[in-house]
Amino acid sequence: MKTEFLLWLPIVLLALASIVKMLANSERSSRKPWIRIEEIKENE
Amino acid sequence: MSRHLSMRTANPALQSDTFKKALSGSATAGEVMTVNGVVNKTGFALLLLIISASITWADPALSGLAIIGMVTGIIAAIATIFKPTIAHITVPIYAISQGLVLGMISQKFNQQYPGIAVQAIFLTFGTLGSLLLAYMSGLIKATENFKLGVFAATGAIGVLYLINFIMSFFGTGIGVIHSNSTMGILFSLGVVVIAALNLVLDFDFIEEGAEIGAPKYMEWYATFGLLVTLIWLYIEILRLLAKLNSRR
Repeated sequence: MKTEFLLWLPIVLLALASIVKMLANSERSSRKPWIRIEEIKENE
Repeated sequence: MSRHLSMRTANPALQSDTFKKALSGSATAGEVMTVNGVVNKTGFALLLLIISASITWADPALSGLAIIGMVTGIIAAIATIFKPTIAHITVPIYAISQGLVLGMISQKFNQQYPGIAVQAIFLTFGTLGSLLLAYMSGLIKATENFKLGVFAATGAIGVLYLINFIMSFFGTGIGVIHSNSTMGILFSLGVVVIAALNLVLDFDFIEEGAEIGAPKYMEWYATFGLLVTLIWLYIEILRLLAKLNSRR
C-alpha cells in the first residue's frame, strides 16, 4: 500500500468523528427535556 | 464570546490586538464583518491564486515571473499586516503573487515526483474540510491552552527554520528539516500537524471577528490569515510527500 494513502487516515477519521458528534448533538437537542420548569402562580 | 476575548494565535497576521486596533478605528463603520463574507472572499482569493498558479505551472520557463511574485507577495503581506484597511487591494495582489510562486514550486516537485502536486492539493483541502467539520461540531475547541500550545509549537518551528536559513549561508543546515530519514519524515509530519492546527486558530479568529462586529475590511484581513496558513500547509504537505517519494 502506498504510504501517501496513510496521510488520509487521520483526515477521514477526524471528519467521521465530527459527523458523529454533530449527529449526537442534534439528537440531544431534539430530545424531550427530562425536567420542565413551570411558573407557579401565587396560591396555586 | 468570552472564550475568544484573550485571543492568541500563532499566525503573525492574526494577533491578539488586531480586533482592538480595528474596533478603535471604526467609528464610521456601517457594515460589519460576517463569516459568510470571509468565506466568499476566501473563495475569490483562492480562485485568483489557482489562476495565477496555472500560469507558472503551464510554462516552467516563466520562473522569473515567480521571483517577481515572491517579492510582490512579501510587500503585499507586509502592507496588509501594517495597514489592514487596504486589505481589499493587497490581499488579491498577495493571492496572485503567491499563486505564481506556488505554481513554480509545484511544477518543480511534480517534475521530480509526478502526481505529487495533485496529491498535495487534495490533502490540503481535505485537511481544511475535516478541521472545519471538527471545529463546527465542537470536537476541537480553540481553548486558551490549545492556542498556547499551537502558538509555542509554531514559534519553535519558525525559530528552527530561521536558524536553518542562517546556517544555509555557511553551506550547512539542520539535517532533520531536509532529510528523508524516519526522523526527517516525523519532523515533516509534525510540522504539517502544527500548520493544520493553525487553521483552527484562524476559524476562531473569524468567528470572534463576526461576533464582536469587527469592521467589514477585516473580512479581507481574515482571508489573508487563512491564505497564509493554507499556503504554509500546502508547502509542508508537498515537502512531506517528496520525502516519502524519495525513499522508494
